[in-house]
This record gives sequence, C-alpha cells and structure tokens, in this order.
Amino acid sequence: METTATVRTVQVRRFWKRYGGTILVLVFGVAIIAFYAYVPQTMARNISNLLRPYRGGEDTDPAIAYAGLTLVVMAQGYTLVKRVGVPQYLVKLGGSGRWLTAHIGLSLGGLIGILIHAGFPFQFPYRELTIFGYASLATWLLILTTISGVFGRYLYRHLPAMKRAFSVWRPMHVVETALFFVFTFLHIWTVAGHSG
Amino acid sequence: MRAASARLLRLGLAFGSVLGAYVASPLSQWVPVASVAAAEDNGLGAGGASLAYNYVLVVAIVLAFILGYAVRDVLHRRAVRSRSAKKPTPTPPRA
Repeated sequence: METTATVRTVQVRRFWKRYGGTILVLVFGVAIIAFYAYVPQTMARNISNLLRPYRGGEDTDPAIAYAGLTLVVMAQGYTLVKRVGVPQYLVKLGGSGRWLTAHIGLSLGGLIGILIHAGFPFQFPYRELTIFGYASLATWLLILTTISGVFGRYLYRHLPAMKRAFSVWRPMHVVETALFFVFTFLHIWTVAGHSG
Repeated sequence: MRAASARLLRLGLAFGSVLGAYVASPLSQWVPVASVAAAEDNGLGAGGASLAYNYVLVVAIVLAFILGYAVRDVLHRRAVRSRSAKKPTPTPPRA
C-alpha cells in the first residue's frame, strides 16, 4: 500500500518536472487572453491611472525603463557562462541550468519593467511602430524574444515534431535579441536627442 | 579549468580597461548641444540626456564584449571541428 503511494508520488513528481513548465505557460497564456477579453472598462481605467507615473512620456521618471533594460542586459551574462568551454568550471559556477533559470528570471523582470514603461496593457501604441524612435517596435521585439525563449525552454522539448526546428530556433532567438537592443538604443538615442 | 578562469579574467580585465578609458575620456561628458532642449521637450532634462547617452554607450560596450566572446567561441569550435574532421595523412607503407 505504502509502496503504491510512493510510486504514485514519484510519477506525479516526474510528470510535473517534465510538463510543469509547459502547463504553467499554457495557464499564463489563457489568463492573459482572458484578461484582455473580459476586463471591465473601469478596471482598465484604474490600471492605466495606477501605471501612469511609470509610463514613458512627458514628466515621467524613466527609472523603471533603465532598471528593466539593465536586467535584460544582465540576463545576457548567461551567454558568457555557457561559453566558458570547460565543463568542470561550468559545474563550479553552478551549472548551466541554474544560469538558464537566472537568465529567464532576469529577462522576465526586465520585460515587466519595460512593458510598464511602454504603457502596457492599455496605453501601449500597438500599431504605431516608429513613434519615439521605434519604441513600440523595440517593445514588440522584446515580446517576440520572450515568446521565442519560452517556446525554446518549455515547449520544443515536448513536441518531437519541433525538434528539427531547434537548429533554426537558437539563431532566431539571438537575432531577435540583437534587433531588440538595436531598436532600444535607437529609442533612447532619439528620446534623449531629438523630439518625436 | 585554469584556462577557463584565465580566459574569463582576461575578458574582465579587457572590459575594465575599455570601460575605464571611456569614463576617463571626454566622450563620457559629451551631450550634443541641440539635444538638451529636445530632451527637455521629452521630459528628460539635460541630466537625463547625459545619462541616456552614457547608458547607451556603456551598455553597447558590455554587449560588444559579450558578442565578441560568443563569436570567438563559435569560431574556435568550428576550427576545432574542421581540424578533427580532416582525414589523417596516410603513413607510408613499410619497405
């Protein structure tokens, strides 16, 4: 009896270890869609007012944007650790898994800061990609990079059909990240130096 | 293991030198005159413009180092792979 219970616990633990990330991603995805679809107008207005002091624009403090971008830059430290080249040294640094978790955590923290600065969820200029020195385009690229990262970390492993696409996925993720930085620099440079 | 530590140390020293040179150079004090008024229009102010330029340049230096390190690693791995893929030269038959 006890053995059966232990076996079941082990099975549950194994299942969660394997599919936990995927389940969480799907739950978050559904929650985000539900949030956009069913949030009442008064609540949307309250959220917009609450986040107004942190949004980009006139007389606002850009500290949250700087903090967010700094977190995203720090997350790139994962690239350095991953390419140390000596497995023993990598183990000494805590293993690549731990650094990947740090990469994901820092990137998500940065994403939240940058999204608030960009006016998410209700004040973001979704279609005007070029205003404020490509601010919207940079934000879209960050969202795309995050989705691509989540796909790479949690989904592709469990979809055998996608395994072949992995060789394309990694360079894509790098290119998206590079483009994000290019357009973010353009945005900061433009806002600091020129109107519009 | 020691080679990896040395490589990271060399990278850190090179990064520190470049960053130190940037901070000591007049480039870190530079703000275009025309941009001060524009930055004030955007709610940043002259200090904000200076911070923004310095931030972009410092982050660009950090990313350039990371990118350089990654590219170097990729080229190194490719070279090792192509070297090991080469067929060994046949030894001359014994007489």
